[in-house]
Amino acid sequence: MRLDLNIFPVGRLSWGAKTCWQDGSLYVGREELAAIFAADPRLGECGIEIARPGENVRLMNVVDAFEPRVKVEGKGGVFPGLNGGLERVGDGTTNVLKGMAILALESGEILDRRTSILDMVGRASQMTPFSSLNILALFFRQKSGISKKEFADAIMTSSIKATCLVARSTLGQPPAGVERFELGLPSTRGTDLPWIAYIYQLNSMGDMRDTFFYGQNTRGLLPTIIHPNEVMDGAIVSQQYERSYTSKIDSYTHMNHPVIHELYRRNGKDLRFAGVVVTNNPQTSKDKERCASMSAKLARFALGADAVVIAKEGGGQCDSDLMVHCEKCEGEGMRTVIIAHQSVSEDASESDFPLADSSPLADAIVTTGNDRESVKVPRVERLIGAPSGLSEVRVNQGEADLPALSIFGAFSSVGGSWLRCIEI
Amino acid sequence: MGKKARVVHYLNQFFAGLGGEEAASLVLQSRAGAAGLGLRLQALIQPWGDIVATLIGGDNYVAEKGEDLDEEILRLISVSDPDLLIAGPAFNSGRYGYSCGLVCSIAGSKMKIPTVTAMFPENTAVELFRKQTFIVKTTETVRGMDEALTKISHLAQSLISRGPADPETHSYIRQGRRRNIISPHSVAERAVEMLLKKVAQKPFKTELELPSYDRVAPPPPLASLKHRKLALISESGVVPKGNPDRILSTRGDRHAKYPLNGLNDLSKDLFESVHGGYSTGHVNEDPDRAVPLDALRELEKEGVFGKLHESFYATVGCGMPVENARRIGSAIAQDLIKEGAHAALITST
Repeated sequence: MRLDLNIFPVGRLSWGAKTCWQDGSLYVGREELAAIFAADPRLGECGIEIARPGENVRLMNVVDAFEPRVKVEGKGGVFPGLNGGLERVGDGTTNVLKGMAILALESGEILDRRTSILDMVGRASQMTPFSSLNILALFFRQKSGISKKEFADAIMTSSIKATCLVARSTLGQPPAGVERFELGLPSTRGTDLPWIAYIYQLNSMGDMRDTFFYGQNTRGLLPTIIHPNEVMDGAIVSQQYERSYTSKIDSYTHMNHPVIHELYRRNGKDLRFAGVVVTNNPQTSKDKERCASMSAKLARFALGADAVVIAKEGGGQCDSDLMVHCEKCEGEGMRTVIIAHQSVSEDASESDFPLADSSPLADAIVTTGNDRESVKVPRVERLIGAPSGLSEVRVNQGEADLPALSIFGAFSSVGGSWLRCIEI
Repeated sequence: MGKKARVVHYLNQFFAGLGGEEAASLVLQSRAGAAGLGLRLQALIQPWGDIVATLIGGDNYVAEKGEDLDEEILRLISVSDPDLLIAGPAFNSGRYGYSCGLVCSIAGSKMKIPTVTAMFPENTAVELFRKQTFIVKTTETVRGMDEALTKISHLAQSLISRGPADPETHSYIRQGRRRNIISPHSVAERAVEMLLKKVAQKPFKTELELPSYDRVAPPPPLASLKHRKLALISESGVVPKGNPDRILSTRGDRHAKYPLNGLNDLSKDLFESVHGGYSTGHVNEDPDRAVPLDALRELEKEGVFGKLHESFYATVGCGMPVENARRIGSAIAQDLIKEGAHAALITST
């Protein structure tokens, strides 16, 4: 399968009469987007704002992020299963608006006890890649009487509609550049370079803690194979709205998957990209073991991998999925590396264990950082979204000390982080 | 060129030049300026610091009295108004190492000044004090004296000028504290790089070494529950509505005990779940789903067990530090023993 991404850079994001892209500037038509929200009976009064890198602004209750993409050639359409169409995706040509993200913010109803903010200035902004992007913020409020789940569904539907509308502004225009992603079948297993596969763990576990694959909730998903290009067309979308950022993968990151991109980058140079196994992290030990056995089998015997990169979506109990996958893969003769983040007190005053599970075979671990680092965030001039309600971590417009896991985009569990936790 | 740092140096009787083992009971005393070994240290720190006083203690005296000397040590040090305290080096001497660690931890915690000492990594004092002070690594014996003094002065200079201090550069024993740094390579890049090294059987260094977890052996099961008192404990976060005891939704640090007052089930009007690790909708519709009071009352009526404990114990885990879990478990167990329970049913999520 071969996919060309047409790159349309967004150096400037501002308002315009209609949504259009021109010479590196994206103009967003407020009314066109407002009409999307108005058409959804589950939504109350919603807002749209712009936040640019370096601006003195804080975005509150961020639940997801999207990159605007639209398919111009090839099978299917972006966000299959959620935006009409169930055709498989991953080939042809897709337009991408690069340098921006559309963020979904909610009223505080869903996150209730958690905090998820994005600062565009200060220490917190240095810990997340989203502060370097031009942000179009969609602030959602629910109609009264609507359940949390219905509200979450409305957010997802409207965010995707808005994202696609914005992406369509690139149609008919020539891109600034093209990136090609091509991966054939793992035909003959050459012995020249090692074959590396990625085991892509997702974690759907309940309302507002779900991930969608071609529009289907992945609860109960048994391991299967996907082509890495499929996620570039939005085949996997998050609805993990109730979780703090470290326990989930956002939609933008699924589309710009760091491990997939790194394996593609080195493909043919010092490794061969064998492919991707996707699986859901289930709730019981038996189910975890079954999934891990199957994932390892697919990686070894269907993809022909010599080694695998393992990363999770989820919280502490998914550290068990990391370990059991490691053991099963090593048991099939494949070498493993695990991506994990730590969650320990900074001064080691508690006898914390960095991960909730352990295995003697887990001898190669790369850490995304310690998500309990205390980060001082400054007073900001502007707040986008609603103040946090019942959250145990209180932050609004003023200065505050937060655990780093409150920052949207910090400690990406699939390797997008540029942080590293060291022991001193 | 600011003014020079004021340093207090702690030495034992031997390195202060006051005698050997026979002088090990020397009481704490202070001298102006550098003394004994301190003269060599002074030469090294000369450009940025001055040893304004030397605190001397006999190894036996300090090691035996230990924390009883806290106030005296503090008094003797603070009178010199130091910016920094250096102790030792102690190499592999257990008593001297303990004394150095003690003096450093007192100065550090009470006076809030940086402190540096130096020991052989296997010195028994290391585990006691590595978090409270910086312990530079030394050789086992005084053969490594020059190197030890040099490393001490380098680290001390960095600390006094608020420069960075890390275990690799400054050769000190890791304190177990964590810090996030920005790496030139993304996590994904580092993961693939590490994996390729592993595949090629080249040496690599994991970024995280995992500890092994101890296993708790359960006590033998009861032959029968008939006539026994059964307690109900839950980690599911079900608490009275409004969460009166402020049970945290993640990284739990406490538990609470709630009287059941003869209730036969937990109603959603009176109870809710505050757990942060799962989607609480179903449990909030019927809290018995996580804390099965209704089922237990039926079994109690049937005589499967003697009596249900009058209260239930509630907490949330969700990344609860192991220390907290030990403390909470112990507290609940003591309570249950006091109140005549024989067994406990724990529901967790």
